[in-house]
Amino acid sequence: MQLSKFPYLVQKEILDNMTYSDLFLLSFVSKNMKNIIKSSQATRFRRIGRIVYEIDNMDLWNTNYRKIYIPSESNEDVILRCWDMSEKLRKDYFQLNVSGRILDFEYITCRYHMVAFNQCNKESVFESIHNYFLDFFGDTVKNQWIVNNYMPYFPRLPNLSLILIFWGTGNDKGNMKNLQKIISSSPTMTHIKMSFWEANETLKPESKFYQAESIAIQQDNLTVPVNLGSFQGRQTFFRCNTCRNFDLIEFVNRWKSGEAFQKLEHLEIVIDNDDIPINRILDEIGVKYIDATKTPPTHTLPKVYFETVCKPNTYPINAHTYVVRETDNRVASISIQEKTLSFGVWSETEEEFLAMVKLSQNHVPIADFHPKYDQSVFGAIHNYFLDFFGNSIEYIWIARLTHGCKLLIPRLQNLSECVYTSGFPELSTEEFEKILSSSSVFKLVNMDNLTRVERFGPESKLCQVESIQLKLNDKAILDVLHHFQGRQAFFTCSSSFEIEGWTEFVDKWKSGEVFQKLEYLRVKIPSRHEFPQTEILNAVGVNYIDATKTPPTHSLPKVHSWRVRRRYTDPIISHTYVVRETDNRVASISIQQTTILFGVWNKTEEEFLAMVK
Amino acid sequence: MSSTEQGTSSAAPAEPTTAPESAAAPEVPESFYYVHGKDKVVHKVSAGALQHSALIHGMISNLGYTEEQAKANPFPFENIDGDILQMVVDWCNQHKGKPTPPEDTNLPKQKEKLFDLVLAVNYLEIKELLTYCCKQVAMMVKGKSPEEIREIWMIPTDAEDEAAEKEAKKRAGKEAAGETAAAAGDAK
Repeated sequence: MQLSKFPYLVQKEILDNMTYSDLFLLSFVSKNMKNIIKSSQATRFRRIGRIVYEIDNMDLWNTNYRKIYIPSESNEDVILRCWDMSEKLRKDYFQLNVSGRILDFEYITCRYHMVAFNQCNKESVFESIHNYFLDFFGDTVKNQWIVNNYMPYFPRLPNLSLILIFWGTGNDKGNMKNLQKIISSSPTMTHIKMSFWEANETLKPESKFYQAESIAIQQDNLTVPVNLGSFQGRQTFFRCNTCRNFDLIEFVNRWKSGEAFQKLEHLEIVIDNDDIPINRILDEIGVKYIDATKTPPTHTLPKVYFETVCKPNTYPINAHTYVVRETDNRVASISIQEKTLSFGVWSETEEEFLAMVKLSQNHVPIADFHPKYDQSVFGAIHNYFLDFFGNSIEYIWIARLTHGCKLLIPRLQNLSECVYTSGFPELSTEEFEKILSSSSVFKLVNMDNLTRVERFGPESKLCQVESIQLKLNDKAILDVLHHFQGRQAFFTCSSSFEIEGWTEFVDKWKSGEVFQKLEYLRVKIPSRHEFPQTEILNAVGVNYIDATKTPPTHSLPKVHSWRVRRRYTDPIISHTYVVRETDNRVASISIQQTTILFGVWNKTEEEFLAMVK
Repeated sequence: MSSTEQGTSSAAPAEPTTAPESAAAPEVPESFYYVHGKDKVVHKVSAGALQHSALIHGMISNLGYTEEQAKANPFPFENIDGDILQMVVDWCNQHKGKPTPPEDTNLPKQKEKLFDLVLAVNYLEIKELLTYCCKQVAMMVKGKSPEEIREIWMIPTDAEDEAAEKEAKKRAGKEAAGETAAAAGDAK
């Protein structure tokens, strides 16, 4: 097989299907080949945000083992591993000229090629690799080298930014000294991620630590060991046990005066202690308000550094409150929600910022009341509505989970109850059952924090809910699936999903024993997994509609939708279907990489096939 | 918005289940076409199966052949070996009217056969099969050293590339000289 005999587009398709690691090795075959890769993969390479050099195995902190990979939101694509093993080379090792230096390579069992080198040569080895990458992937790609307190080594190379990950605890002076030593002996860090509990010393304001572009800190409060007040970089993320409101107020006031934090773009502070009412600072920092009937612009920007499988952008701030810097009239949106304070600095002046504020489509009256009267207030409003709008329409109460798993649900007639959470800490089985018991039967349960909930029995109230939208582990999904008596189920699985569970479900549905009310089912798995489409279709014994024909589209109104634009279930246009034995009703099945859709028709097979065009 | 709803289609919702009920369209008999490769063995293939090939689909879409006309005019693909065309026809028949699976494990394992299949599929413009084939070709070099890759894909060395380039230049020079001489002769 002669690759060069293939037309260019075929060669490109082959290269498109190769991993970065294989392309890297292929580039050494010839200069011509390297040029073909660089030209055909130029767009793909341009999309690489960064290449990360990270310590390979956290159990081997005292080594220089490195993996070099391209991270993304869903996985990391390893290009190469570098191990200090030159004396233990296997017989089938080979040598490559990497940017003018001959390096030893061998293939290791964990699917990657490895550069083997002597500890004393590490500087030049990494230099060669780095230079080769700059040429091969292009110099627009950021190169980031991760150091930690156990392995602070880094090669001094141009275009290589440093990330520090530091774990410290206790008031042991050794930890603090180690941190100071790493910081002072390195160039300015691009990003520092640090957790340091129970420290009793604060880093001096002149420390290079504060010049890092971005810091993500977990410590007891906002001043020890890292003092928020001394930060000079662009992005900062703090998570503390506690804080003094004074520190927050001082931070905002210093920013407003222009005295400090000139480069700051984004700040996020999470205070874990519930007893700190951080929302009280709003009155003391002189915030300005955007009219509640208007929609403020959303502040978000790319993070300086994000870990694999994490969001690449800062959390969007959509606040009606803002402050203005006196020196240049720049605006910062400030949002306080539960335990989190978010602060996003705009490059716009107040005038420009307010020009971005949009008039909301709905002007609504606001009822003010004291929380202790909530039951009677909602009772009065509900009764008025029943009289005014009539009792033929459906009234839905959407309960949002608050801290301590508390739900406010007024006991009222003709009121359907839904529960919704998003971004809340994971719940235990007990906490979730407590939530379910707060309603006779919920109409809808939509929660994304149940991956710790392991199993459900047939008696669980969840199985009686009309519509469920849940993120669960695979076993819990199967439990619910086996006993579900409702109409619509939307599952996001936190792991892969066994096909046996799916076939068992379809067989049960086909037999007509259970799921009589089921209308729609969706199961999504994480993008790193994939449903074996053919295997599943064969296992459940589907019927096929001829590919030359167009099957009808299955879609129906959701029991409840949070968004007007998503009032209907995802359309299913599938050439595969199954038939229920008891009443000859049809269900369309669609399987795409990470999603299975199952839509039940109120048509018999004959009626269904008549709709095929 | 519910996070469990994230990632759903952003397309406007389709109408609900109550799709218009229409009387079943009368069954149209399926039409067949005929193709042959280098070995002249003729294969009868349904129009449905041939839809996989953009090339053939484009050729037949406006023909309106009767069964007899189609039989009398098989499409000749003289550049494709008979056994390779057979593989392509089998694949099209197998995947007729079915969603194509994410991968195909029934592709030839021998290098040369796979190579010929890639060329044929590329010529016939069968996109899904070409993707499977290219994936398989890419997998052939997974975990191989550059020298092993060179051997598998027969990639010339830098020295061979340079020699070939020199040779091509020399040939182009000679041809140019020949053309100039011929032009001068014509002028005389």
